[in-house]
Amino acid sequence: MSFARHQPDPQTPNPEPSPYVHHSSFIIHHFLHASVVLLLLTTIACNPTGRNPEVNRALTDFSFGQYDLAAQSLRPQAANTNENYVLNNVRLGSALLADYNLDAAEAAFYKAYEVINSTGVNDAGRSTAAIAVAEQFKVWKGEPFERAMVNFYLGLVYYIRHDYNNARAAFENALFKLRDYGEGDLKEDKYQQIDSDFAIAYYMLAKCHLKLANEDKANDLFHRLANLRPDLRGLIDDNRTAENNVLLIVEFGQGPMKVNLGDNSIAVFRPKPEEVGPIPRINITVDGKPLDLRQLNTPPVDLLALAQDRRWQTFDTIRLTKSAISMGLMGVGAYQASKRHPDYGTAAAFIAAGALLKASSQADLRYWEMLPRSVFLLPLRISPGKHDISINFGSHGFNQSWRGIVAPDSGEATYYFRVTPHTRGPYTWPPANLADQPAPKISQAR
Amino acid sequence: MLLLLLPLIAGCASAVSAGHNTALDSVDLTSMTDDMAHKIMASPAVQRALAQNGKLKVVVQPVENKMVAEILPRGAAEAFTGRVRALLSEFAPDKFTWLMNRDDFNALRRRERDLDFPLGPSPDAIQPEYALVARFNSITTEDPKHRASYYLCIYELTNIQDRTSLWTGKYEVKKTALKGFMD
Repeated sequence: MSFARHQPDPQTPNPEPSPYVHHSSFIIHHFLHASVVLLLLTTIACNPTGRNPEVNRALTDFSFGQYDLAAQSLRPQAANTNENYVLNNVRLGSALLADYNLDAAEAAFYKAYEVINSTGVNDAGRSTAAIAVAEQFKVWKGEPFERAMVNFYLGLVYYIRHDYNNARAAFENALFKLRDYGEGDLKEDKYQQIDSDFAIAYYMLAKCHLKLANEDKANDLFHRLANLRPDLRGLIDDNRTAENNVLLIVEFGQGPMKVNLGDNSIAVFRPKPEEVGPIPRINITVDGKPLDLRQLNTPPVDLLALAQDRRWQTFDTIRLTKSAISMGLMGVGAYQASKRHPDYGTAAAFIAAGALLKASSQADLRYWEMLPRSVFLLPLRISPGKHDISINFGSHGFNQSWRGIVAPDSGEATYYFRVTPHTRGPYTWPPANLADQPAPKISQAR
Repeated sequence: MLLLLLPLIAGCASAVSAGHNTALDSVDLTSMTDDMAHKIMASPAVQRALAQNGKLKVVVQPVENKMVAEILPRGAAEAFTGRVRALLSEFAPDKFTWLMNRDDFNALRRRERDLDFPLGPSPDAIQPEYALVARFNSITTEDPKHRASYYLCIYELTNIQDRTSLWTGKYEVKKTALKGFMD
């Protein structure tokens, strides 16, 4: 193919381009530019969840109790310091904690903790890109309840390892993360509501003070929690708190999911608690005999309820404004195309601009998929020795059993169990990652 | 528009490069431990003890975290006292005999085969006379506009036998991080 015939003849004067041709090339030129930008935006907006195939694989493995495989998929993701750095580290932390890889879980949660506690993480470039292009450019730091859970898990890792000073600090920070968003014009009753909503951190904070021999502080916290949450009095019972030698931390159900509500610019957490019913009561059997849990089977927290209290409304407003303007631009474009003397060029420009703006108003749908709906805290007094323990939540298919759980002679052994319909066991204690750790002291094995 | 957007996207900082927080950092570690090492050597009480007893046998403990809502991982807790030891070992090698604390010694002994240096005598073999301990306290407040922490870090050289304090030093610092729109 020769290009010669397309060369202009130097002898022939350039013909004046017709206004029609000039106008068309102008439109095509800008339409192509707009398409490229639209493609770019669509690419970003099409993955507002921060989940790539590796993360999806990890989430599937996690839901089926394949925690080591989930961690394996998540490790490279968590090493990437992009906008999903915190999210991938908390995902990794969840998998590692469930796999009892405590040192690695601490490291992953601590990385997230450091960024969550930092200010100015989203520099000018990120902030502008998050506002102008897509919210997903913002470094994810989670909603207040997600930040609180990062600190709760970090505290739990330290508590299991008997590092009570760091556990105390983490549980204090968990409560800070929720209070933080309520303190603009915080009234005392709001402060109380936050503490009572996140009773798990409050209770564990009191336990830490007890372990650190700060009995007055511990008693103050227990007393305050008893007033805030009378339904948890069984948990706070003096004798039970003083005498328990086993603490079970049992997670139930699926936590809140962030989804679009109608328009792509509106994100909400679903389901609402009333859509899925109350959290079932927990039942425990030790060596085949049911334990009398009395008031211990009251769920201390419902993350579905906590998630309904979203605070990042500023971004919602920006997205909604962009969404409304984009609809207006597309409306003007449609009008230009449908009037008696249609101006297709102007119509295309308006519609393209509207589509661009609409794509950039896609809500950020990233959330921590591995959170449970509730966390039960069960301080138990079990005769020293090894025991078989079964946990079940009635007819919901959520049950799990363990063999060889050690109840120590003195002190307290803490066990973290994530109960799902796919993780029934029976499992044998200790898990592989704790096999080389010194076991709690018991006078004789069962 | 594309030309405007691309620099924005390319100019985004990594998640760990742009932010700052109120936690104690490497600058504090350096200035605090330099200060403490100097103060220990300048202490008249320490000089008297050296004159009376010769080299002081000191065991080093990791920092005890008394801070509000501030986690101090094991590595950092060891670094804040370990660097004082390292400085004194370097600049006053004839004044102190440093002993590993029993927990660390036992932890290292469990993986002795992996170590490329001799573990040395057991802490039980040499009785330490003094302990270098540190306690970090803080008052932390956080609200939608800022997070602020005031730190009081107290170091102590304690006589293990009679629990008297041979030397005490302190380091104070206040840190504030202002929150922006995206925080």
